[in-house]
Amino acid sequence: MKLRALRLKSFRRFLKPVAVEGIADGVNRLAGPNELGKSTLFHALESLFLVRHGVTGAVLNGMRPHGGGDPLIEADFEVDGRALRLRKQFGRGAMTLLSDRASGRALARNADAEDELLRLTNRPGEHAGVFGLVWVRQQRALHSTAPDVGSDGKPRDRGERSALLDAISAEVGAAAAGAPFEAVSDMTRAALDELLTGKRTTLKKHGPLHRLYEERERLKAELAEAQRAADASEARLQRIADIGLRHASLTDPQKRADEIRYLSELQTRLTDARASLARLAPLRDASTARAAELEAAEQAQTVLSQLSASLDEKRQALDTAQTLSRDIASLSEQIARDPMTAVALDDLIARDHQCRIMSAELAGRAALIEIALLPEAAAKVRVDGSPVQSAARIEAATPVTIEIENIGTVRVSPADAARSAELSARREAASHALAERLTELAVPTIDDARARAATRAANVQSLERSRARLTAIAPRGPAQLASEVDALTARLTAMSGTTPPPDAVSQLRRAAAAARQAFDDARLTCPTSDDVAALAAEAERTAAFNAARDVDIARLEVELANAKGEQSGADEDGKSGAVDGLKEALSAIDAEYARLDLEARALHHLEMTLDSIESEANAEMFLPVTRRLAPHLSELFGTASLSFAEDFAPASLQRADANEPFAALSDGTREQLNVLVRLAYAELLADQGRAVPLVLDDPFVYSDDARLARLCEILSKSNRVPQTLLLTCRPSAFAALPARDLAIVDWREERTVVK
Amino acid sequence: MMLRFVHTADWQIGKPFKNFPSALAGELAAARLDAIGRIGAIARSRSAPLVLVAGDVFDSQHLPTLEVRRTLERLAAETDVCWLLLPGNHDCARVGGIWDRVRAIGLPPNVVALTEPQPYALGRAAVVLPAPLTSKNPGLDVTAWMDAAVAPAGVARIGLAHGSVQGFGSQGESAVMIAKDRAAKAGLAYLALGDWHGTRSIGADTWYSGTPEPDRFPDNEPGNVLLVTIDGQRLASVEKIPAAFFQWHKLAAQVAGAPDFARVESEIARVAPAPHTALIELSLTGSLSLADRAALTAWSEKVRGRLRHLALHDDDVAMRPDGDDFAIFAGCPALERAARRLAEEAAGGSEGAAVAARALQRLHGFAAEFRSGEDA
Repeated sequence: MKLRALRLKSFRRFLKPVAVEGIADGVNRLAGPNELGKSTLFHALESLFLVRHGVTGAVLNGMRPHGGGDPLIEADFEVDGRALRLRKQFGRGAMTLLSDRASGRALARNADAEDELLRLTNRPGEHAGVFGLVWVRQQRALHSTAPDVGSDGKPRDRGERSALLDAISAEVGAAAAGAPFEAVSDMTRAALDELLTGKRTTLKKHGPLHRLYEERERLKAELAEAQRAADASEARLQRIADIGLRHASLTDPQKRADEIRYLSELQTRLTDARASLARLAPLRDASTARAAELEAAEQAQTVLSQLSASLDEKRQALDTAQTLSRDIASLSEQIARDPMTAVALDDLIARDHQCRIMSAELAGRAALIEIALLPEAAAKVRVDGSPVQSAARIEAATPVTIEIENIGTVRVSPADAARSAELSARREAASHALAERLTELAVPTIDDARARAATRAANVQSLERSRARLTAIAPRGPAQLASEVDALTARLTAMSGTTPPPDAVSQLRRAAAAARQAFDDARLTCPTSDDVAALAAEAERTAAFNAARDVDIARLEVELANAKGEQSGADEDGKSGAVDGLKEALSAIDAEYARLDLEARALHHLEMTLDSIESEANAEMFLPVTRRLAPHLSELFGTASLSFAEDFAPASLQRADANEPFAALSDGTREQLNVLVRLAYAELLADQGRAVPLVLDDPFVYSDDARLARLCEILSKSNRVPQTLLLTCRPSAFAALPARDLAIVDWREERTVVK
Repeated sequence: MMLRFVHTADWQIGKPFKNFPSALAGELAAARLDAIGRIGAIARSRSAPLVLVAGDVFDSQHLPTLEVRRTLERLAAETDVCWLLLPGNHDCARVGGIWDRVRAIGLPPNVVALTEPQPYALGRAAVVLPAPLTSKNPGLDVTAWMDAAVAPAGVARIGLAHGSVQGFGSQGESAVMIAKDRAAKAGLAYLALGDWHGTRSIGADTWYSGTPEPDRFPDNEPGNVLLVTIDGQRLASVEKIPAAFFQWHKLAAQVAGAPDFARVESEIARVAPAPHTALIELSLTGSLSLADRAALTAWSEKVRGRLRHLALHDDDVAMRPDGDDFAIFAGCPALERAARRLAEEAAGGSEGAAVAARALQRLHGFAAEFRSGEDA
């Protein structure tokens, strides 16, 4: 739809007829100062297209001039290339006339004309519909662009949302909502509500599925009870049969005779067994006694031989002890007698050593005199008076006088003869003392002394060894050992009188073996005491059974009568017979439950499927708007996108670096975004062949110059919107916008000729 | 000398039929009791005032005593007919069991309970050799004794037993096996058998009468009694006589579209000329569109109203949505998308396929309901 002219009379500030003519394709600009009446024109436009001519009350009064009067509005417009004129008289003489401009023919009048107008503007009813989406009143640009939201921010059905959704769904195909979808969703929900609770997790109480469930549970319980009754019946019938059999068996005369005979046999066997058992006892006793005797004799023998061995041993020890004692006495005496102790020896050796040292020193000091004589001179030379026969060697420590016969005397004196003489004297004394000591000890030489000292030491060792052995053999002395030997001897003598001789023990052994054999032989053929006890118990039981037979018969008859009585009661109530029927009923209800359960699951699945389709569709729903909005946003903000809430209210603006909630944006930005959203709506409608003029009443009042320039650019570029009507009090602000300028002129009202 | 009698079996009086709607269950149970009167009438009209019942007179050992009394009263009312009753596996002759109760209540003069394997003389013409069951599963051939059973020379020997014949599978009713050549071995003119619920001949002289009143949708031929004629010591003839009140039929059909329903309907009309006493089990296979599936529901309700009972098994009918099915969603792409998604799931064969199929059917139904509301 495109507007071509708007004319009005007696409408608010315009008492006189005025007109805006020549509205062109593309952007039209009506610029003028405040109070020119631009917003009144906007009001008139809305009233012509959206308000029925028969309107009264506040709406009508809102259109009238101050001084009163009946508003008249007329517009020329085109729909699908067809030129039409719409004229509405409000108040007195109210009417609507829709005519064809080309022919001047009236197309419809009044109500028909109003209906035709709805059809032409694609509106399902009285609502603003598409116009509400793209006609933006002064100061409304700050309000939310969400459809069907009143200026007070509250929801109001203005047909805008459905108009928008229609356009969108024509484009995206599966947009949700729409009456059929809502209706089917409601029906699904209602059907499911019958079966399940709101959360869909449990069966709805008293709903059909719940009733079936309860009924099934009841049947299960009933079946369980019937099954118990049937099991009890079965057990009882089994018992009746058992009792019958036992009764028959008890009352059978043949069996009775058999049992009496059996008892008598048992008793005979028991008597025999007991007798056998009684014969066995003395044999066992004899065997035990013989064995004991044998054991005692063997023990006595053992003790005797042990004692004898012990006596031998002690006697030998005593001999040894006595020998040792003698040795010890002899050795002790020898040792005591001999003074040639190790100390004495050491003393001798020390004296000898001293003598040798002194002799050596003397030799060192001596002058060596060697005499060799001619044979004819033998005995003619005397040394200190002693004749030399042929030769002599003299170490002269003291002066030596050599007399040579017929010759004279030679006297040889060593150096320090005094000292040598003293030394010689001391040596003589020491040698003398040593000789005296040897004599005292009765040894001729030192070596003999050594030998005697060794002999004495060996004796001492020998004595100690003997003493140690003696202590080992007779710790308390040989005398004690001797008295022990005496005591043992006496004991042996005493025992040998009472101990049986070895041949007597052999005899005892043979007797014990014979007694054992006799007992074993007897035991092989004799029952055990357990056997006898079992036999006795069996005999006792059989006797008791036979004795109790009549009592048992009577008791069984009572039991049988009772069981039959119980069974008869159970048969009357027939509960146990109900098992099969209840099983059938349960299987039937199981099938029915399964059917209805499938129904519930199917409905639930359908509900969830519809929900998810709706969510998907909702997500797709914004695409037609956001797609068209995108180039405008990038023109204005660079990279940016606007997201919407479910009610189509802008939710947030995503720019390069931030995502800002719409409400937090500045007034200017919000206004600009709102106008761009309207522009996108207009483009969408145009693309869907439902174009309506975009009408902006004083927009962008909060915009800075730079933004405004870009907005003008956007508006001028948007050639998809066939017609834009811009009303502004700021001509300079939009001067750059290529647009057709409109003006308010006098309306020379033609007389409408209706053909 | 001619002897004529009616051979019947498997009355199973007291069978509960709880898997049917309760009113029908009552009628079915009553029809079994009423069978006594119908058999009595047949016996009278065919001059065969002797009825041999080959086991399973009662449905259960634990039948309420009142049911037992009612049965005996019905038998007693047929004063000019003599009834020989044999315990079967359902009502075996246990100590303290149902036959003890029958005796405790008192047998009418025209009723004989053959609870012992002993010859029972029918005057001088014949002797009945009964093989009563004393437990559900006796584990031996209870008819074996008939071979050596002593009977006066020259009389017809008639065997009466309940169980499966070797080599002939019964429905698992009983584990009692009867030698196939028992009649020949025991010199029987006729062996009257029970347990198999359909009428069936095992040999010329050995027959299952089947139950006179069907109790299930049959794979065999129930609903008859046999009229047996013995001439001297030989079997002269066996005649099958319908005795059922309700007609049970099992049908199977394949459907590919709503037009097939008419064919099924005429098949039903053919097998059940008396629809008000007909019980039909209809098993359908094939595949249907959503619309045809909805039509099937409407059609089956119509047929159900005509018959005494319709058990419809249509779980095996595959759902095959066609283009027309989706046409109902025209103008609402969201609904169409939901339908196509469900159709895909239903075709997937996964565990949820049946759920999805049913969901699709409901979606289609709701959409149709909405459209019809719009049209109205």
